[in-house]
Amino acid sequence: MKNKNNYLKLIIAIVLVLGISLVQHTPTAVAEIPMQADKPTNRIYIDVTYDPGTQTYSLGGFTAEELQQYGAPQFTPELWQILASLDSITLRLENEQFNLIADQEQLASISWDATSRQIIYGMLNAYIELGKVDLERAEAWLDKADVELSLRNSRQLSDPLLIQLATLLQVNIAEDGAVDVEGIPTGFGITPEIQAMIKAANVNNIKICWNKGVIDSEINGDALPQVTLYEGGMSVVDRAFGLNLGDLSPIFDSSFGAAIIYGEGDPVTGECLP
Amino acid sequence: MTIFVTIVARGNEEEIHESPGIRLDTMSRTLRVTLITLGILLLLYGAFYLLGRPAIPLPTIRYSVPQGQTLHDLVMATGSEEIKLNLNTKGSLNITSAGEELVKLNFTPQTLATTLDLALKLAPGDTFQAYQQFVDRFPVYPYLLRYTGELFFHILPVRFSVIMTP
Repeated sequence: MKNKNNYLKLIIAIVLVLGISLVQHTPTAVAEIPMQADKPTNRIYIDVTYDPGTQTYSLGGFTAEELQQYGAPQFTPELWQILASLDSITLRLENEQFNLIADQEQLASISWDATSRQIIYGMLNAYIELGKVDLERAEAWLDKADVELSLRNSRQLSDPLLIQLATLLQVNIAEDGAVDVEGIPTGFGITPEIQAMIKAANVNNIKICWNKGVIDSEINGDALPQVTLYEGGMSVVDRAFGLNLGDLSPIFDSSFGAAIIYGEGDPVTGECLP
Repeated sequence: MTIFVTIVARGNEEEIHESPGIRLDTMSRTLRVTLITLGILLLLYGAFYLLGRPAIPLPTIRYSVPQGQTLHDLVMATGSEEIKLNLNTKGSLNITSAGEELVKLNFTPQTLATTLDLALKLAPGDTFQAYQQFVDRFPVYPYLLRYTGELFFHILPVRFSVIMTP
């Protein structure tokens, strides 16, 4: 009798635990993602400091020497003449307005809403025949854009480059390997070996998003594991293989993404949301 | 499961005596031991589940990377001359050195399957054909692989580390 009681207690315990386990779900919460209707999704900040004395400039946190090493162009004497007479110039595109500010004084302000953009597109279309797709892409980039170009007369190092782009950069690879970015031919092409690999893997499109070191990617709409790179890790790789990558902090502060379409592959939808 | 529920529903032991389906006192010893073992295992798993299924730690493996390998250069470049690889089958793989994170990878069985599929297609030589031939001979293999992955991801996560030194 006692044994039977023990069995019974054990069975009841099992049933209870199983019952609780089966009905217990991992608590989930659906995050209320606030609509960011008024918030810019494509943000670019470029700071340039220049020294008319030495006729050198620093851009996006890179020194004049580093920029020379990367092959950055030199300013023309005419431009130096203009810059020497100013302390600062700021070109700012925000809140559907395009502002030009020189020495803290507003020089010009142009309306940059959808209607005014359409007028500009119309003018451009009359000259260079923009296609419908190009106009759509231009709107995807410029709608809710926040762009600032700041030029300062200073010997200080410029602020790091800030790039936070939600809109995917459209990259098309033609069947012959030619690469276009946003419909503009780059003159670059992928090698036949890489083309063969793409065909072997049956890749139609790739979506890749970089968000401050976190890489999310999809191939043909199927997600790949999320990879997180750290600056420390990249320094180790740099030292191990002598890559001479330089200061990577600007790129680790940036967010951007690309939609790469091969041949007649399906278009990639969505954005890279930080 | 249905049998157990029936017993519980009937309540007291006299009724169980009269139950035509289950006679605990007449069960063979083997069956009783099996049932009890199964019950204990289920009980332990229930507790494990309620605790959030923490990954079960496995012993750490130490690996001395031979000189001349690419990995050796990486280990040497860390400064601490040690790289630790931590795999948690619940979906993360991270590589650290002296406590500093170098790379992290978050995965699910689906993302791993996509990667494996892609890697097979991009593998050099006739690896993909060889794999296809293998699958033709053992058609159960892809399912086995998938279910093993699902098992260690969802049901019984484990974690282990590999410490790589020069």
